[in-house]
Amino acid sequence: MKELNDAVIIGGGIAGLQCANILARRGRKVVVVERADTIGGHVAQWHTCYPFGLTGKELVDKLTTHLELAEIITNAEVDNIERERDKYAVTVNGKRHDTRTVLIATGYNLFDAHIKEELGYGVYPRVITSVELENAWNNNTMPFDTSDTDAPRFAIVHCVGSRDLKCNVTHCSKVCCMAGIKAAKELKQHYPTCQVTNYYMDLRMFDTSYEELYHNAQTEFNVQFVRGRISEISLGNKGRLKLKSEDTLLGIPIVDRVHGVVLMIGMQPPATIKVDNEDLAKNQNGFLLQSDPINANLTEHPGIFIAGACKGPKTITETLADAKAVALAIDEYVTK
Amino acid sequence: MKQFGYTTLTKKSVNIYETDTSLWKELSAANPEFKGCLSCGACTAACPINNSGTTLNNRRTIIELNRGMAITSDAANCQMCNRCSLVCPKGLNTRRIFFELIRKRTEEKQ
Ligand SMILES: Cc1cc2nc3c(=O)[nH]c(=O)nc-3n(C[C@H](O)[C@H](O)[C@H](O)COP(=O)(O)OP(=O)(O)OC[C@H]3O[C@@H](n4cnc5c(N)ncnc54)[C@H](O)[C@@H]3O)c2cc1C
Ligand code: SF4
Ligand code: SF4
Ligand code: SF4
Repeated sequence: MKELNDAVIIGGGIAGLQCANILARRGRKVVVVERADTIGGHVAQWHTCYPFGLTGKELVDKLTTHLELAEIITNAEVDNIERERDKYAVTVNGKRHDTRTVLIATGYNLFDAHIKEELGYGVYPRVITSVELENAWNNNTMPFDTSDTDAPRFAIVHCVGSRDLKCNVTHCSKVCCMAGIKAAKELKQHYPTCQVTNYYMDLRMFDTSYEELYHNAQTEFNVQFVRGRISEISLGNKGRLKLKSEDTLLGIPIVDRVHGVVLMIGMQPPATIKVDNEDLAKNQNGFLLQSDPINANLTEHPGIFIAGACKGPKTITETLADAKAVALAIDEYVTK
Repeated sequence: MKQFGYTTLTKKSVNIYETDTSLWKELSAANPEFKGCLSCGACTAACPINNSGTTLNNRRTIIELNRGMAITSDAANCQMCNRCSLVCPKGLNTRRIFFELIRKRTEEKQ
């Protein structure tokens, strides 16, 4: 008889790992399939994770306590799930894995900042993304060269590839207001004499301690907040970047000239997963559709579950809670 | 300009990288809570002098100070009635902004 798994988990980000770790601890037979060569997803790249202050690596390590009991397959992408009566089959690198349930935890894709041409990403090296900023801190490098000034200015641009019909995106990516202020504080810590200005449309500081982060950035770090969307970034004098916007709280057009710009890129839906070659249902923003109002992890296919940011933008805390909920749902499903 | 049927404003765009923010630095150092303003406008809405059609506007003044821009409120109009401070959700002593501006001006005259 072929081995039957309890769960095949597609995506080894924090959602997939949290669920795999819990199921493995409970003696369930689990396979995790991850596209990249390492596990941890996006979080593994973050230098510091708000609000607990752990590095992404430390956080991911906390989710691996029982993973030696699970099978982890890296460098493998899944795009189709086959249904066979009350079970499923997922083929990975030519090998077929039969399973009672499948968890889709494929997370999100990052918005490609080249698409917003007016922001000059890919044209001006001093325009970087939020992800490149995290990478710079991780590598102990300074993201911007400020050797020609004692008082550098930096701009953080919110909502890049979010809330923007020109990019076919209506949703808010939810974490980037918080991450943008986190970035402003980090810039202040690394360049103590700098002035950082965050350009935002709305500040969405919804979670516990987010409002305090905002207050702290204003009062301790003197971060300046301008409500206004950047219409254009161009090259100014001495290699500086020129930013145009309207200070909408004053009704005055303003021009800034800075040594570096950080674009807070948004979260996009992950690549499609198919069941018997048919796309799983999506919500109005292109993320995977939660089919039941009470059970947050169900799809229209019994035995196929979803969790984490593949359902829509989520913080780490929300992702981990959702993944814990799906572990219970899967455990109950395979028990019955 | 008249011939085109409109007039241009003298107010142009402001280069916020070269404005003088020394007054903000001085006032916010002495009153650190000023920095925590949310720009909600409750103070302005509560102000009888603003409501009676003057340009006195606490919210706007804080932003103008922060950006180093020209102050469009005439602090001398403030009646020091303190209604603005009563409604501020961040607990700013909002009246003090105009008090400080009047004090600065008096100092400069002396
Ligand atoms: C710049 C930035 C900073 C952030 N900082 C914070 C912070 O400080 N605090 C916070 O709470 N949140 C933060 N977040 C949000 C955080 O990144 C998400 O909450 C988290 O990544 C969601 O985890 P996930 O496992 O659902 O998705 P992901 O991290 O996207 O993981 C999904 C995994 O699935 C894999 N995968 C995808 N498709 C397939 C497939 N078909 N087959 C196999 N594998 C696949 C991917 O390779 C990936 O490893 C930040 C986000 C950004 C953009
Ligand atoms: S969280 Fe903030 S920066 Fe991100 S899309 Fe929403 S409003 Fe824009
Ligand atoms: S103290 Fe001055 S600014 Fe405040 S409400 Fe009274 S008149 Fe208006
Ligand atoms: S009420 Fe307080 S927080 Fe709101 S605009 Fe006035 S000073 Fe700022």
